[in-house]
Amino acid sequence: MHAGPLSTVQDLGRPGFGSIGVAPSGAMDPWALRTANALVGNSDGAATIEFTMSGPTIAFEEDAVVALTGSRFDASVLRSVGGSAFERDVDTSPAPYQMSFRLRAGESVRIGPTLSGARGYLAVRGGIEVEEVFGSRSTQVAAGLGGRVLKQGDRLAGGRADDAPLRRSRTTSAYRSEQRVRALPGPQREIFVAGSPERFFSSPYRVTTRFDRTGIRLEGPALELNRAPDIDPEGVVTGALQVPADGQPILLCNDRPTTGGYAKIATAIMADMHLAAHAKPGDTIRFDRTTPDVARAAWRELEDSWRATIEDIE
Amino acid sequence: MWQGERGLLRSFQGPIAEANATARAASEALRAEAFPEVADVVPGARTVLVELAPGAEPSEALRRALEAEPPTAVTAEGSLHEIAVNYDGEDLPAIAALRNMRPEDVIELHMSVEYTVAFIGFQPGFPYLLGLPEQLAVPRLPSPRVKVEWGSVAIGGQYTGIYPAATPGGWRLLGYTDAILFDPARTPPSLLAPGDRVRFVRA
Repeated sequence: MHAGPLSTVQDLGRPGFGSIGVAPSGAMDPWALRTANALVGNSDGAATIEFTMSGPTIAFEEDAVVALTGSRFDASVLRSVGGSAFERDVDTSPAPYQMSFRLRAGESVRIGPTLSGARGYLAVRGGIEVEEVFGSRSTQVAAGLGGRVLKQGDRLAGGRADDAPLRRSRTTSAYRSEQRVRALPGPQREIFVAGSPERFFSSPYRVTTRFDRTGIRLEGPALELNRAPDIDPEGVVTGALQVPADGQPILLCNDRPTTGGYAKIATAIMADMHLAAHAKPGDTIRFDRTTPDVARAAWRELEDSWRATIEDIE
Repeated sequence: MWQGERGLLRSFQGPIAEANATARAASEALRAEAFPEVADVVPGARTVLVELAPGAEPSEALRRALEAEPPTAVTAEGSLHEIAVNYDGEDLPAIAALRNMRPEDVIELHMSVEYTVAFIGFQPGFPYLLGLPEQLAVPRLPSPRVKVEWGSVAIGGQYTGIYPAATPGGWRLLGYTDAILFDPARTPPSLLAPGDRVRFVRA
């Protein structure tokens, strides 16, 4: 296979090991992962491939049932005609999106650049088989823990083709290059100069090229600090917005460190992290101030709407 | 104090060693309660972070446990680990220069005390060790290295620590150890646990 810039095996992650320094990891857009699994008839948290900005090309050695979800990418199915491996003898057709489809042994899926957001998912009926580490097949890229970072020439095990019916989701997702993400202020408001939190909540922040599964470095009006941003290191949650000395916030994502020693100006709500997951360099994020009650209600609504999506799959 | 809608953070004031012992004890007590709405409990230098499951509200019992008088810090001593170090880190001359000391004195001073694991953070198995002699407290590098070798023994502010895996890092490098700090296949996976004691010796 060709790997793409960052393609990893992910499931729903391994929460609960923060006290030994292990990040939760897992799909940056867990809803897209769950939809992909539902489309191929897998359990909710089966391991899939998450790809970033551009995807892998994967040749299937056996028959398979697969689905692509998340952001829409320029993806095709390659079928060789007349048994030749030469490109001119290959029949190329657009790969279905948000619906499962069958591949025969010898066929390939080629996933090119994204057409909307940063991340897409490929699920295979039967799931991707890599070793479980702390109950999860997710890849923690920075620590080299669990899962797999795909490399050119890798072979992956998994999959189970059968006569399962093909399914389609009627819900499609469009990711905007100007994203709104809700956040709660604090907890280190007092370290920031008066007016900084207001500036944070009223200005667009641009996604820089330094964005990965650990964090998204943002660029915008600098958030001034009263003193050095160092605090006694404390546990952090996904969505925390740390501000180092340069005043530019970093949105911590699923492969984040488990503790952090920088002041945090705000924390993005969990229900909106899947939107941030699709932000690309050059996109902007605006943070809207909200309350804990709204944040929890938003998560429950997301779960309800996901259940509706699943019921709508036919 | 809230960190987002999922994080409940309790801080303990006072000198760092006492505050840390209380944070460790509070963390253990909260973990032992196994509240169903809690996804994780993470001790920090002087804090305990309770992370709620997504969408979950804290129960009355959890709120009471978090506000309760912190348990008396555990007095039982943690296990003692000897870590053998080759003191030939890239930043040893710079640390010595910053502190107006000879490199040899930096090494002697680093080996002269017993450290306590305050918490495990940053990366799997990375110990933050308290007890660094004040003369050795040096600020982190202005700009972190892209890659620090696994086993690097380093100083960051008032802490000394060990990088279990090759990662980016901003601490100043004193030397290297062969100790395996973290192995997911081992029980327990982390060599060191909060409250454990560490002594550095020459390899």
